[in-house]
Amino acid sequence: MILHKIAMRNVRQHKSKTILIGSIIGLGIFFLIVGNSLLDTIQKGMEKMYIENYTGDLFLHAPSDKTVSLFGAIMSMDVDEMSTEPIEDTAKLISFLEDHKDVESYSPQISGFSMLSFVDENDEQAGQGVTIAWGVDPQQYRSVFTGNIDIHDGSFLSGEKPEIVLSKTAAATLEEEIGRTIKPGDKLLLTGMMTSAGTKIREVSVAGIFSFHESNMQLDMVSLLDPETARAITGISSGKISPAVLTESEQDMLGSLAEEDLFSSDLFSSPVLIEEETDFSSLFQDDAGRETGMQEETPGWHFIIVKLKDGAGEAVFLKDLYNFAAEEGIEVSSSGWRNGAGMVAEMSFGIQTVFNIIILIIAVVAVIIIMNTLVISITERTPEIGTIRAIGGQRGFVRGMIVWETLIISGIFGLAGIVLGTIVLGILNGVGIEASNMFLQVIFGGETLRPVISLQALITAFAVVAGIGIISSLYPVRVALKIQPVQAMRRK
Amino acid sequence: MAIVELRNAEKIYPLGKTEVHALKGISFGIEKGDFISIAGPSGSGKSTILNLIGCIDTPSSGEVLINGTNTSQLSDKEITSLRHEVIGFIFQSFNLIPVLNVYENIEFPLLIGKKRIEKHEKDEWIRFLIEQVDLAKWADHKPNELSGGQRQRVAIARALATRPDIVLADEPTANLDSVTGENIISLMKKMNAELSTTFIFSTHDLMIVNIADHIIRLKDGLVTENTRKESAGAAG
Repeated sequence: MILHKIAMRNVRQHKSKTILIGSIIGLGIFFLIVGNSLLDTIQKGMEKMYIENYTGDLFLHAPSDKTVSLFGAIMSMDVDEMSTEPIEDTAKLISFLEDHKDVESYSPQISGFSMLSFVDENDEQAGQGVTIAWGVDPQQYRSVFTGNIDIHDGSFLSGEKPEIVLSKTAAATLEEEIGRTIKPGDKLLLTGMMTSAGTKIREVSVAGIFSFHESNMQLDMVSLLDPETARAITGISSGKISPAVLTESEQDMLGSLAEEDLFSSDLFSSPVLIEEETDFSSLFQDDAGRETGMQEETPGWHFIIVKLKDGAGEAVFLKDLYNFAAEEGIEVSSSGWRNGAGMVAEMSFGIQTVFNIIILIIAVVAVIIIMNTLVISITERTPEIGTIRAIGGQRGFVRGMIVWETLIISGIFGLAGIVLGTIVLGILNGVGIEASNMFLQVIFGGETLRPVISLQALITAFAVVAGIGIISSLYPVRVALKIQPVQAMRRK
Repeated sequence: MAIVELRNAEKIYPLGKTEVHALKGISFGIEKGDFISIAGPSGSGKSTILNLIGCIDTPSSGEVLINGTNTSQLSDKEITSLRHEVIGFIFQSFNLIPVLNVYENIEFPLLIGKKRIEKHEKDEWIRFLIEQVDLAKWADHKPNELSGGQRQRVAIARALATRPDIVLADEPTANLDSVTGENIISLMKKMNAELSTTFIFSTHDLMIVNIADHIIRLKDGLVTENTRKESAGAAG
């Protein structure tokens, strides 16, 4: 009680000190709460957007040393390094998902990069573009993501023939190159960009032009493909053994060379020197495995996107999944939306990290300034503290007096910062923050951001207020405790 | 038994590379209820003696006993409690808590100790002290609204708040005019008589010295005179 009385009155008495310390704390908390709420709004929006439209609650993929996203491995600049392995035994996993009580829906997916060229009516190629190619089962995909795309022209994949639903952005780039509009029914040549898979070229017809309902720079590059074509251009198993059927344009690209021309004895006219006698027959003795492999392969997929039922626990589902995978000997991993979203989410979390580092630096500077101000104040109050000690005030009383004073200042001004921050956030929510450039659009996840105050930001703000109050009073308390009662006598 | 006893107390202060012998081994005793003046010129060791008796400083050698307890053997916590319960302080510069009013300054020592007192009992006692120092009209005023004499009267009341055995006053009249100074000493004398509290004050004012019942004169860190008047200790 007396501590509070003295502390409150000192806060009022030493106005300049109070205002200086309070302003630092208040402004710090204001920026902290506004900044963190903005970032939380961005991340929550991004989380909702990705889960509902792209990644599901989680997605299954083959184990990898790299962080796997739906766009390929994150932090890889080389297209080949971005490629991921297909999942083993997709059929068994799909059967597990079909049976699991917590699974609402699922959709397998293939991801790769492809060059695009337009094929005109004379079967001539023109223009060149690039797209991120997602191979999907049309029905499965639409059952998981019901309203995530806007078809601007044409229709979605029919699932009956090699088709592409071309991204509006990729279409625009190509249109600029060829000088005409791309229409449904047009032919495109897709060239897989994974050199490890060899050069894979497929002709597809354009089913439609689309864009994702909620998009960003990265998602704008995505086109949706039938799975067979996607497998072909990414070089993963189709699960079928069928003779290669070349399109006319592919034939043209290969030219008129006959197989005999390619492998005629002229090509290998130089004698091959074999120094040691090799039993070649032993190398090819048992080809049963090859036959079995060819027969048992199931269509390959890179990912299986899973949406869980409302209220279903992800941890429980994953436990069941891994138990099942272990029993069946399937190596599978899972990732959440944050990994799935790739570089955009990484960028957003990176910004939050940078912001938090900046806040930390500001907090350290604030603590130092507050500490210095308090030390000066304590030095000025040496006779008072000496007197308190002389007339029987224990060290604990002096410590409590200093800490309580700092906490009161931190509390009052921190609260003011929180209130001000909440008001500003309320205004920003009403008005909305327009993304003035592409970078901000990516970060905001749209053209306008309407921030809301987050509980996490509030808790952080309160923790920071208490932390600054206590930490910044540690050294001043030490200084105060060094004041001896005899110093009360020395002031003449 | 003497309430205060100094046995061959010596105090040496380091001053750069040299040392200052503030007290050169002095011994004397003070009885309960004494109204004692420690007199001497500046630098004679008056304040040092008060610091040792007040347990806010320790002797370089020798012993200081308060109620028979050797203060050198106490921990910081014990010595703080001893100061709180046994000793009251009146400072030359008054040293009131600036943010507290007269009533609260007097009440303050009662709030920082472990002993809990009933609110009405405490209030009655503080009002009594305020009456005694004639500050009833000023009870709600802050120290900066009071004159020097009034502030020193608050300090006297505060020193008596915990009903200590001893009140130490380090040159209590030094910052006051002569008339106010005499009034303060008279007030201390009155409290000494009414409450049987031992008052020990230092001064170099000869007129004030003579009001005391027991005079200890110092020069260069040594006791040159230790005189008790016949009436000394009558209060006790």
